[in-house]
Amino acid sequence: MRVNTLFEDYRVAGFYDEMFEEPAAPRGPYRGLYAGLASLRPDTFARKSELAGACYLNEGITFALHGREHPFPFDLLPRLVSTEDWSTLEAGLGQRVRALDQFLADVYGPRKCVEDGVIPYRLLASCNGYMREMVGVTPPNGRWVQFAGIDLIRDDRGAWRVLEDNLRTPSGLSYVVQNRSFMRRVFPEAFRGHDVVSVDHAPLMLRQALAYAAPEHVRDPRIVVLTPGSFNSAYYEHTFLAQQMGVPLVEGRDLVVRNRRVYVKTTTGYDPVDVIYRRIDDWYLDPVSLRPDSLLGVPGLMGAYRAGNVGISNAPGTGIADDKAVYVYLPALIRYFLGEEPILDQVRTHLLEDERDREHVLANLDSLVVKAVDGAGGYGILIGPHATPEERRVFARRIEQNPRGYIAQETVSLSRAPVFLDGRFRARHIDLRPFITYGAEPNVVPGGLTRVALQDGSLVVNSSQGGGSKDTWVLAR
Amino acid sequence: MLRLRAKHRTEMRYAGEVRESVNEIRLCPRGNGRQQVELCEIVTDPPTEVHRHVDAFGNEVAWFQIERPHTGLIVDAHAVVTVTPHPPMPQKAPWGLLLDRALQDRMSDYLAPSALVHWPESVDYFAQGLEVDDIQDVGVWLRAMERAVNDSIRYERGSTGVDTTVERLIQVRRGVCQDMAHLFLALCRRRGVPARYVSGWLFQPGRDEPGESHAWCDAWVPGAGWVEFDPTHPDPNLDHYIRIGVGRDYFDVPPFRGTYVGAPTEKMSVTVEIADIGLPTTAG
Repeated sequence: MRVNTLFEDYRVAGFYDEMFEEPAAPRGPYRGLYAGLASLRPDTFARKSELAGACYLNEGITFALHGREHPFPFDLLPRLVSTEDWSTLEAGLGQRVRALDQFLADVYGPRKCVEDGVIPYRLLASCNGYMREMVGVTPPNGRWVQFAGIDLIRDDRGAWRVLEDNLRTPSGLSYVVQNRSFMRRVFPEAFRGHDVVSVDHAPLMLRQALAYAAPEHVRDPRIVVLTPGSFNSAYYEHTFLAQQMGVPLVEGRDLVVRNRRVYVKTTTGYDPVDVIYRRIDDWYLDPVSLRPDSLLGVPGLMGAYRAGNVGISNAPGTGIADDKAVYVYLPALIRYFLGEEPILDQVRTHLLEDERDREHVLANLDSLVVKAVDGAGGYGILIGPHATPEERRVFARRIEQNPRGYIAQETVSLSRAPVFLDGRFRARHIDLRPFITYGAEPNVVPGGLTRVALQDGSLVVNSSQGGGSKDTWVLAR
Repeated sequence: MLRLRAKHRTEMRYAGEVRESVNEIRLCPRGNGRQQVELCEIVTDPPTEVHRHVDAFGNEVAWFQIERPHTGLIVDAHAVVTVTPHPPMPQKAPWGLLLDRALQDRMSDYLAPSALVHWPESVDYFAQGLEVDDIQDVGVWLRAMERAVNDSIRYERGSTGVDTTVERLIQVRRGVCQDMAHLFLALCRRRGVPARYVSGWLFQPGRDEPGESHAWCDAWVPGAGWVEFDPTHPDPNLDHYIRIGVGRDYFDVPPFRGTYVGAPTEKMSVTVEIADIGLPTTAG
């Protein structure tokens, strides 16, 4: 018996399947992998899967779920992206990040996009991520974004679409690097015959982009990773990235502002800091100028930042791009700022502040997906077609009380891929979070975090909702 | 027209040594239609360099840091301003003019609820009880509201805190100028009148204390623009009002914010002395 027999009752129909055109007929990029699996015994694949799980546990790569640490479920069968698809995604993601960066510079600066009627000020002013404290502040080099995670899905025709933008503190890059490294360790023979683009340099890409956040005159910037501490659910990633970039991992109390410059306290004295790669939320960065109750930040940091003596990445205030109501305007903003047509489609989305739109959405809740505009981690979501009448009533009430707080989207039939569960391959929905670094030019880390909804039929792939991940291979040819 | 000199002093005494003091203060008057700022200086003791910038609301912010150990801190703001009378209220200001979408969009900050200004049902009941909701003219309605707030809330020092919400205020019916301002703002925004918080100083000629910190409101009157209202002293004599800053509510214009490391604060006092120094004689 060979591994391919594990696909025997695998169902392809009904959705776009990433691997198969029809049963036993793999798509082009997957042909080599499928053929390779033929030389493997099912129990070997199962054992390798267990080994991969053990790698995660040994490395201590966990995430917090319902107050407990869990290993991140990893599926051994990689997700493949063809060369052609990848070059479109690279262009589209780069375009999006360039537009977002210019948009942020404009929102906190001359605000021409509002004046020219591209986006209403009301929408910006009501974003939780809008920071009035950043109005009139120009970050070093005039650049707001060095790093972004943009979530993509494929619809029932296999077309790629942008689902959401994450600029504030996108997380998951460490999994991209580790998934690949475990994959090579546990299943090296899978790579045979494939020209997979390496992701090992991803932390270096991030480091190079972070250098663009440094004050203009600084040649060899000193970077630190600022973490809220070991209780944060992404603490593993903070330590990993600091280590891989070769820069100190610090907490707020390790930093001090002197004469509008930032220093890190060391055993030998105070070392100057040029760039803070912050993994704490905007509002907690500085208790003097932002939230007074913040114990995570650095008193006076905003004073040093305004003076242009330190870079913060991404710039405070970039969170407006994460607002799902702002997302609706992205195609228009790309046209406005870049004079280009958007390369990537997105999901048709309804704003709910206008009474007519709202009524339409409320009447069709059973076919739509409703999301909180600032929701993350798969929380605050109603999947209309899967919801009970009571759940829909709850969301209808929430929408009526706070229409600005929600958006509604058409339900997209997310593509599926085979996932090894209980000794069999079963089709599960997946998405992709690629990471974009923006130094001299936008660069996309060649791969990304493919997230898997482990429950049958579930459309929610977030790790905080029990989702898993796959290694993502970008094929060089 | 009056030319006023204000000396504002914030004095902190600590129970022992403190250091690493970082502060952000809003104590410089800003210019506007009826107020010209001739001078504003911020001086600290212990002395340090003071850095200034303008915030999102157009307010002057000063930022300074004192790293070395000290046991007290004095911050002096010294300003000279000329205040001129306010332009008169327009003859007619119908409600309909507030429905202009461009105006509403531009005024989003001052139409939406904010941290301390919101209007749950209890505020609705309160507003309906005032029996001024059917007034047909925005300007007339605003003057009536200013008076109604003053009539409903008893001025009582120490009865509320800086973070008292409007909801709480209408339960206790006692408060200070800041609370009355917040209530007035809630009543305005509830009816779609853009309204903002004004922090500043009040000149009180002939009184023991020649000045005091004060809070009042700007409301948008179609045809006139921002008009000042003071629910603590209805129909105010604006010659005596020095404007420092504006915001959605108090949290946008706190006069003094800061942190330090060391002994607790033993005493904090704030005084403002304002004097009419007369218009300069122009060489002619």
